[in-house]
Amino acid sequence: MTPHARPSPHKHAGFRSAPVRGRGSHLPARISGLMLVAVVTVLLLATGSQGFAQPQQVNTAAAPPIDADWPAWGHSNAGTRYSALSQINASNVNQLKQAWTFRFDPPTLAPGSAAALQGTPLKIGETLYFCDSRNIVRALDAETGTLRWTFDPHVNLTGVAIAACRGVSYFRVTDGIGDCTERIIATTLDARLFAVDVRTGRPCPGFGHAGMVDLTEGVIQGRALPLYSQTSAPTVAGGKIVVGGLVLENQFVDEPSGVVRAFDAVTGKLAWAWDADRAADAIPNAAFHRGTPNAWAPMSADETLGLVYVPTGNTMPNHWGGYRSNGTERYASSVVELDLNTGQVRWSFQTTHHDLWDYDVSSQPTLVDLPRPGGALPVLIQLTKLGQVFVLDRRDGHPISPVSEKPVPEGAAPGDRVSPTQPFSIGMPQFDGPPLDEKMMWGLTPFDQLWCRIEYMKTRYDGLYTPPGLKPTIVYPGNAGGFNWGSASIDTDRNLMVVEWLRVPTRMQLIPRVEADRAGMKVWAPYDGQPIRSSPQMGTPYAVLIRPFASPLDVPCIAPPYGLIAAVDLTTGKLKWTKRLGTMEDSGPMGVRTGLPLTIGTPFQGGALVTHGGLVLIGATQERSFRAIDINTGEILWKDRLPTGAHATPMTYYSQKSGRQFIVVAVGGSTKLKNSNMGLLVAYALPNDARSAR
Amino acid sequence: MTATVEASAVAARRGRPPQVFAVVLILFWLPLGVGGVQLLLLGGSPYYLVAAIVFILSAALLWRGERRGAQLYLGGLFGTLVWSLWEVGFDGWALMPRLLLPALLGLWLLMPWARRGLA
Repeated sequence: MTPHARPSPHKHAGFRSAPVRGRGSHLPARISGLMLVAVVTVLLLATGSQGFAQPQQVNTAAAPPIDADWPAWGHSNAGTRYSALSQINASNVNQLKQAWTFRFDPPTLAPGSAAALQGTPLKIGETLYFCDSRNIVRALDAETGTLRWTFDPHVNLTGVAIAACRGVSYFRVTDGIGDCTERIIATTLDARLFAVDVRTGRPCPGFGHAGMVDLTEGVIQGRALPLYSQTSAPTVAGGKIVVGGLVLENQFVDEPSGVVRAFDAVTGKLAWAWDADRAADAIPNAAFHRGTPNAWAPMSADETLGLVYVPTGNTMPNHWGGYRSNGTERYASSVVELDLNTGQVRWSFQTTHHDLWDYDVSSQPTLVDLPRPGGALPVLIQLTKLGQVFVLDRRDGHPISPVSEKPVPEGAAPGDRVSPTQPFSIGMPQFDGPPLDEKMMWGLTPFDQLWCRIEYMKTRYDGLYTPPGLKPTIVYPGNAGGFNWGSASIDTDRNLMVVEWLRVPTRMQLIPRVEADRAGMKVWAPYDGQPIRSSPQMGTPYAVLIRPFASPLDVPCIAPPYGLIAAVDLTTGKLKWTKRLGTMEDSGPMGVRTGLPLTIGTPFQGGALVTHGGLVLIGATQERSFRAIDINTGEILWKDRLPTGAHATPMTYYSQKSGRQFIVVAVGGSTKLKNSNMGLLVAYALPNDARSAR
Repeated sequence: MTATVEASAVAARRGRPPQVFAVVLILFWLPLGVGGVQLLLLGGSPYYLVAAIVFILSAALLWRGERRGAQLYLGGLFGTLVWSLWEVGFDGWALMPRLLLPALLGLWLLMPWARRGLA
């Protein structure tokens, strides 16, 4: 399952067998002729790449029931990112035009902070609800993009690792009347939960303390920013709001608790809490255990089964695990199923044992019902940073597609251990590419390529799960994935799953405490004017250095592609197509934009929307574009250039006023991907004649 | 010494040897040769060291205006092409760092003034 050319396994160079021409008086002409052929061949080979695709006709099925709203972050709590709308489809998407745009101020970043506009709006009735990177919530007219109200929770961004808000949630009080019967539920980077009325944006007085719940209570003392924050939309299901939290990585042993809490969606009162070290009979407000795995990624829920599906992170610190508790060993880097009513663990599935790599589960579990002879099978699909696709029965966690425990490299750092085996989903395609070798080392020139080859040979790499140590190691897939919060997008009518994955290795090295102290590696305290956040792993014998494995020209040390998109047929479990995602237009060496429209497959952040119209809609790439892809072939059907990267998952809805389907994407850049920060929402729709002609 | 004198005499009739090119070639391949030694000692590919020797030899011949220098360059380029295809196949992006600069440098030798300077 390789998306790109696989080098041959031979060892020695074939240089000596190269033809060297004999001598003769007519040689200059022959030399120049041959040279010309060689040069032209070489140039053609070196610049060859995939071209752009032509639009293709696809028969759209009979008009589906209208899926007019987008009521939850992943479309529903099942997290499919799929809409049954098909007014915009593969045959007319090339006529898509910007219908409206909405601009707002991007955050002013404090030193040490990064930002990324990652929000996906909700659409309820005739209104969009959206959070920006400062957790300011806005309501916009879904037809025109006109601002209806704004609610600003006044978040302090000092020291926040990545200022981002992926979305807000919606709740309707059963049999309610008056204000706050319908409410928007949202969280903040400084760990607050709030509810505001959908019509006015005013805080709900009956919710928490004047509409606010302090999520630091029992987790950290005071406002010890930025160790604990919220970035994913809360999950609203069964009358409850379920929130996890993001704990700043690699600071010290006993970091703030990774507790998962459920609050009553009407009153904001704590209903239950779960952390990895919690006793089954603990009272709801008993102290939460510190140092437990956090759950920062988007969750999903099945109200029929009464379960919330929690993707868990790792125990901090990530990269040395000698002091971990039994509970954290059991529940870290897992998908954990909690009872919506009680918070009791129903089952859990661990994707990485004794995680030393930052392979936390960062994709939303996606819930689909697979057609089977005996009736629909309720499954959960969990993507991982290692590029695995686990397919589990969501009632009991039993693997539907076989999972095999395979041996992995040994050689833990002193005082630590490695798990002898790790789980692999052997029945599904694996999105990690072939293992690295010296020949895959890259660079733009022979010089940085040679540098990368030398560095590769100096670094320990024994394949997947090479454990960190005092000698530098390569972590591949790196700690951004594989897969990340873009998560799977599943067309539940065609049974096609669309995924985006990264191929970006990192280098890691444990630093003995004495040396770390000498180098000034200490716990992140932005208020002290500390310029760079480090990974001191205080309380363990080692700090850790994590760097991109990149050449001196600041290009990855492995050959492209770095970002890919693929479709998997869930009926057969087979790969349907795979493509590189993104051109070099807006990236290049040392962060210089090359302007070259060559498809390379760039690094990305963000996910895809899939629609019944046979489309995959995605921005995400370093290339500042938004595109529509044919879900059956992977060909790009339409593309729009943007002022910066669209690092958010798009959404779609139907507006009753004009009878139009809209597609909306946030365009706000990302500090990490070197796409400038902006505040922009773009809405697309078809012109009138294109719609009537469909 | 004698050879240099002869070469100068030839250059006077046929044009100057491509000495600037020879210097560029040496500046290009000398660091790659040094890195190539390091890579070989680490158990890596011998290509960079071997290629550096071939291209630096080619540069020395070109400095003296010897046609064999161009022949050797062509040989080195073909060798590099074969080695590149053997390592990564027809993957354009993977071939780029291996082939692009050596091929572009080779264009210099196609220029009339460079060809006039070769005996």
